Amino acid sequence: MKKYITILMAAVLLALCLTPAVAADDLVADVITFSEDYQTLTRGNETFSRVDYSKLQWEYLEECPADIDLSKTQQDTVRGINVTENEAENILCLTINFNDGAELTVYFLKDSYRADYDRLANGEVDTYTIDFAWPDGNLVETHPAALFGQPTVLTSTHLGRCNDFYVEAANADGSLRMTKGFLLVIDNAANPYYYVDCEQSNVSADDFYPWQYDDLQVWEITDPALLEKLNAANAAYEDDMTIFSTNVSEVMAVAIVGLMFGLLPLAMAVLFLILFLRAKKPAYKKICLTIFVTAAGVLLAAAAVLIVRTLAI
Amino acid sequence: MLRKLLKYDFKAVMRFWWIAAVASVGLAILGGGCIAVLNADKVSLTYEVLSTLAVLALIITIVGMSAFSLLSMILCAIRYYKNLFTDEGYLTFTLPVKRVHLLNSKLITTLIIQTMAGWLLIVDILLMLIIGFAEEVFTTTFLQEISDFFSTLIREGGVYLWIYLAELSVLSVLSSLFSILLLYACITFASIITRKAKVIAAIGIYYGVSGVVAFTVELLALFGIPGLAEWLLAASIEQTNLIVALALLATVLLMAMFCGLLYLLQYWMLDRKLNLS
Repeated sequence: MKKYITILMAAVLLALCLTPAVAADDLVADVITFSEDYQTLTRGNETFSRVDYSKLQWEYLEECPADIDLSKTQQDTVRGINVTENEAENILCLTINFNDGAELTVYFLKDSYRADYDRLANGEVDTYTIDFAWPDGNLVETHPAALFGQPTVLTSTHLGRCNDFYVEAANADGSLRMTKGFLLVIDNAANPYYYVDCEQSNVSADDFYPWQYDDLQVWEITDPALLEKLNAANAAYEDDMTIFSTNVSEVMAVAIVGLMFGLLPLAMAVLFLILFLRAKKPAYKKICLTIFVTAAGVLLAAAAVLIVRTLAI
Repeated sequence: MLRKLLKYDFKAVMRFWWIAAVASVGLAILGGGCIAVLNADKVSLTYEVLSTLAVLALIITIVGMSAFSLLSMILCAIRYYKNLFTDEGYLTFTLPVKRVHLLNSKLITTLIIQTMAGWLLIVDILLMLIIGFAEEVFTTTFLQEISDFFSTLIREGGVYLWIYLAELSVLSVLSSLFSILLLYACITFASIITRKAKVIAAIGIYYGVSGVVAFTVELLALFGIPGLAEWLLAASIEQTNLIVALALLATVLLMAMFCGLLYLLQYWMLDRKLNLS
């Protein structure tokens, strides 16, 4: 028995000694050094250089433990630096706080990914991906040329009632994603699919809201193969966006709205017409007449909506 | 006689309301100053202390302004309860006026006070923003942008813009009237069914009824409105404006119907069921 207790205590002691060593290894931060002009930095064995992050698709950047090793001149001007990085660890975001209160946010890309970035920026990729966002994995891949169909201009009337989806290009391992444009889907149009190219239509990749534009240069998608894929993906998107299936939500909408704007006003109109005819006191007669008139008005307005909507199809 | 009733009801509420109104304007000016301090964004120990105090003062400002809108309603409800259901009610009901005038006077006074409180809150918020963002607001570019925005809105909206504005204004007044009628109906009902603790009973009944109303509205919003909106807006663009205008009209009339129903209930309780002894 004593032997077993001794072995157990030895094992616990060993674990207690090893754990800090293993954890410490994780906690050891990489050392970051900058060039004097803050255009390049090194972290351990890796080199990074400045990049225009606005072209890349935004992703969540996590805090990154790092020891910053500044030169003497840099220490005189910099109060502190906060470092975050993306999941693929190829983009660093540094927020530099200067002694005079100024703040600068700069992004760096790992040099080994520079060629990928340049290829994406120049459009030298064979595949663009249209992300319908819902349900998961609802993606359509296409050659960029298929998106540039018939050039046309869309006015705010159409832009105000369309859905927009990201059109992205990515490098081989998917660690760099660039938004090249947007697919616009206009409901109830003869051909609902249009492509907006960020560069050629002069729109911002990270701040695009179709309803803010008027007379926007777009391309109507005419490629039959792409149209077929878009129809299938859009149908899946529309079907999944409702809380319930279309039939159930329509039935519930008709039931609840029919009750509020149909049955209830009808019952009130009948009831208060009877009460108006039977009431003796003038005050009661006036109130009952008012309720009857408003209830009848609700019925008429609801009927007018039904008629106009039905004729509008 | 209605005018005389309105005058005295208004005076009774305004006696305390104006103090709260002035306090809310003062809080708005304080809030604007706090925003200006926070926007200064300097780097010094004094500024750090000032900005902390500014944040605390801003919280007090927002809580104070919220309390002001609640206080307006409470003052009117107290006037309604005391004037009709306490010992004062004995005198009120001996006045040579119709019961409907008593009720109308209370409702109109409350509606006016609520509207004034609403507009004053909007002025307070604008005051806070103007003081807090003075450098950004008082520039020619900003004012030009505001002017362009309204010009574009009026130009693009056409006649339907005015129709929507009129309908939404009427709907907001009716919504306000509905909430007032609901509160007063609960107070009247509680005063009829209980002898003691009328105020607590009134609050309890009001919470219960409000819960039911809120549940019904949530049900409508969750299942009715999205499906209805999808069906309505699937029409062509030219028809959508007319359909939306008619749908809003139906909503306005529905709200008027519910207000009428509550008014009738209220009047019937005051006329037939009230017993102050």
